[in-house]
Amino acid sequence: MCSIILTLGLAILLGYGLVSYAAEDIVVNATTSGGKILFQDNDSHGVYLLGRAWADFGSNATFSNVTPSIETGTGRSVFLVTCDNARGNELSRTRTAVFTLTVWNPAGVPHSTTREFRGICSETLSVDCTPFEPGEGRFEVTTTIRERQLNLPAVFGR
Amino acid sequence: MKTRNGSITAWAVLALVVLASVGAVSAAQAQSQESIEVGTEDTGDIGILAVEELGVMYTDGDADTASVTTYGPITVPPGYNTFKAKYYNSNDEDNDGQGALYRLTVYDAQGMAHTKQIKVDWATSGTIEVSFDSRGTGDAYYELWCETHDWLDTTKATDIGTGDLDYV
Repeated sequence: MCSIILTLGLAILLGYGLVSYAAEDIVVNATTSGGKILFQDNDSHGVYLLGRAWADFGSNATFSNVTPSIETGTGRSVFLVTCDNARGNELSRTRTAVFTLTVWNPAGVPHSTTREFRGICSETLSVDCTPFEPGEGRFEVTTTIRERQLNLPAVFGR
Repeated sequence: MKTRNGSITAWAVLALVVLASVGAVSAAQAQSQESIEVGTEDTGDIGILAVEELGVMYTDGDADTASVTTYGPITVPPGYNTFKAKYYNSNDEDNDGQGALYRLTVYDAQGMAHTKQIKVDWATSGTIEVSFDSRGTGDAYYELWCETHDWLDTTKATDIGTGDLDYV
């Protein structure tokens, strides 16, 4: 009796180890879009919505729609992007929607925010930036759908 | 005389029971209406300049839908303003684990977010509001967000609505 339980336990442990070793994240789909930010030589500041990003677990599609360029001053500005995922995972799927907003100031220093969701969401990414000098900066919005999958051939093929 | 006394006592006891249960129910409702306020500060008595309605949020527990409608770009004077949004939650029974969340976020001219969130667990409607000093003039933004969820806080539907806000 005891040995049966022991064997069973060992098998479960081995199985679990194999699954976690063989599981890997693959990128199902990804979209990147961006634009320019002109930091003008005045002290104006503000809160700006740069665009929207969507992920859809139904069709595995990613979209984004952003403004091509925006102007502000050298005061503290807040940049926002809304992100949506309209459909959740089915029971057997383990997909994650990853949304990233990165803003580069005129000196090329990046400021970034990333949020990950495993189901339905509508949220806002926010990055704040106070450039020390006027000039041209830029921003980028990336939407990615990742999925955790078993890759047994990769384990046994080695 | 004796039966009359008896009936008065019976009525008094009944009234007491009804009153106590009404009190308990309203206390329970007041407790479950959580509201979280972040980043607002009291700036003293300088008078409220404007009261702006920003939009409406609807959630439906049976249909699993959430929808936000905003009233578009708005302009308010700099200073102390109040921003409001209405919410409606339908098809949700009391304490069945199902519920809805409503959030109103309004930025001031310095880019600081003023947020208020309400959680409800029954079919109801109401108003959510934030008041703060805009801290100057400038370009800002507001956002309305709502969610309907099942037990274990499983999100069934969410929506977000945004609008441009100018302090001029």
